[in-house]
Amino acid sequence: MAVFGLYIAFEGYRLGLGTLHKPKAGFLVFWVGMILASLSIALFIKTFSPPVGKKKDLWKGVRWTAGLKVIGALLVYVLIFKWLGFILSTTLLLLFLFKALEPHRWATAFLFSIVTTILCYLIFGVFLELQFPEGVLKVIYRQF
Amino acid sequence: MDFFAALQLGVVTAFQAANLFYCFIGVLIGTLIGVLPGIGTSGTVAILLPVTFNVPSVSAIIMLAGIYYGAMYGGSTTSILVNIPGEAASVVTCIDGYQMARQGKAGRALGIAAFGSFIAGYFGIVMLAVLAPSLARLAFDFGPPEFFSLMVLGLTLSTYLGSGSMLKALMMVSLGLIFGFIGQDPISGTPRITYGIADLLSGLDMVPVVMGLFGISEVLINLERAGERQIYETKIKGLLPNLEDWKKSALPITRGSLIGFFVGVIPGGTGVISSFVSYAVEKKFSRHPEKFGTGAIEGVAGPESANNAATMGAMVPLLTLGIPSNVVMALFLAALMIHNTPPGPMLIVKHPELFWGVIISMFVGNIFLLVLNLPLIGIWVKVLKVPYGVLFPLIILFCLVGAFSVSSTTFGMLIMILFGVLGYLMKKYEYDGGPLILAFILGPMLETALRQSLIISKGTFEIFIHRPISLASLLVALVFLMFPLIPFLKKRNTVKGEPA
Repeated sequence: MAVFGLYIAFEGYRLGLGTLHKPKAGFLVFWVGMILASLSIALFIKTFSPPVGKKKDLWKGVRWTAGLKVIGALLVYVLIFKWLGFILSTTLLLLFLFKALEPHRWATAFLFSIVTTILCYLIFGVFLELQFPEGVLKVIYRQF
Repeated sequence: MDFFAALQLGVVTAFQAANLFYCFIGVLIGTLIGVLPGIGTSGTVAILLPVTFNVPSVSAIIMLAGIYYGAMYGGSTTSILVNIPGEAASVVTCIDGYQMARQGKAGRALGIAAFGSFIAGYFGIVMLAVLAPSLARLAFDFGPPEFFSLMVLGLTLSTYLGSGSMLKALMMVSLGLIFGFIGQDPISGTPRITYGIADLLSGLDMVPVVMGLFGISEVLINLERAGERQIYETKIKGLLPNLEDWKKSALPITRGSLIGFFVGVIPGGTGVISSFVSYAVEKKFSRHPEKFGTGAIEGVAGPESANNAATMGAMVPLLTLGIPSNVVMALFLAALMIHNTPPGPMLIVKHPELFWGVIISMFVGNIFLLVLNLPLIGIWVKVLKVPYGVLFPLIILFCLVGAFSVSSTTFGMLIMILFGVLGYLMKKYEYDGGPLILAFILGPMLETALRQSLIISKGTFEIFIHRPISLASLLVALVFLMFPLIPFLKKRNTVKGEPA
């Protein structure tokens, strides 16, 4: 975080500090970057003081891989969203979330995914007129 | 416009069929969100903000306000029945509320929480109606130095929001300010920290940032812990508090209302802080402080009243000064800006139907909430039993739709995911998101106010000292900043052998 703060301070300096009478775009950016760097260094120094209480392992005994799977699924969703369209990509995402992380049956997961996607599309896409991408289904719509 | 004419305008506005409908929807969603742990008010308001784009501004704010104070009502249900706060502001209610449930007094706990919230809500609304117009008139004399100093005070107070260290909270404030710098400089238009990415020129959108930091990160944290919630299976009977309960709760409700409202008014003050303060005060005033933690009804009545009154108090700085005092108010600010009704001293003058309509709708909304939270408590208990494995995909889907709807591009979704990961890591390593978000939102306004002040004063900082409101705000901020150092300095003096 200290390195990040120093980098931001450098960016602020590049933008130009100006004067106190006429501060430029980089004025506050520089100073906030320096403050962040200083606070980070202070925190780093504090870590050398004796810990209060027992230090706990934040990653032991917790299902942190579940979060990793969700993030991976979301990133894939963003990539395929416009190409596959809202309905297909959302159905696939929900299927993954209902099935891969919790022990639902395939039929249940499939049903939940389809129903939720369609309801969501009706509420947001039709009723609230959000412009969802049609993706590959556009080709199917054109056939009709 | 005189007071009675204003009230009349408010009544006419609030009782329009559409506004009654949006008020009901708002309090219903708010109660649902408050009941369900896993998605907080901030995330919900952020998700529903794009929904309000096609709705008139008055209706939008009525609905969002309903969600806000509705969540405070709903949060007590899970605190009392499950020992898990549905809302951060209901954390304290778990302490005695759950103990009351275990003693077969769940109904009375729920009842006093609902009635306390109702009374405090009405108190807060009356105070808002009385204080806000006066403060708005005062605010006409505010200039950039006053706004800058008030925002500094707000950010300083926000560092007390969290449970982590002050040092970490200040780091989050700095980080939030940096995120706020992304985009074009508000005065010169120079792109800052955009790396040539066109989507970043207008800065980071608040909605995906909030949804990521509070919504997605909460899902990721909850997924770490497998297992069902233990709902206390007790027959909920006797929702009406008896005379003994009222005797014990009358003063806590009164004190809680006052504490909650005035804490909520202070920029940075929230329902969380007010509920903690109220609990501490009730324990101090009680003739039997040893009973706190074992099912003392005062430990439910006071904090629940405080967190509801705080929601009303929080609207004062937003509607009169245009300064959001917490994350939810910042989202309200975004809603008002999108609807071309910027908050501030001119709001009551230019849009009296919005201000007074929202005030009166809150009277109506609190009645809806009493009906929703008492007779329908059985339904909320059933909702609580919905497995998290079914809930979390829905939460994620709503977040994705919300992020997409802001700019109709996937860039918002990507920002939300990145902030989701950041929020998750912050939660793991005990860095609070509240100060970061408040700084992110206030940052651009704070920078503009600072630079304008320096231009006015020809480059000297004396302008902040010569103006009394600015000086007072900065002094209070300094006191709060120095406060955590006092025990450290005392310890050092004791070690040196000098009197403390």
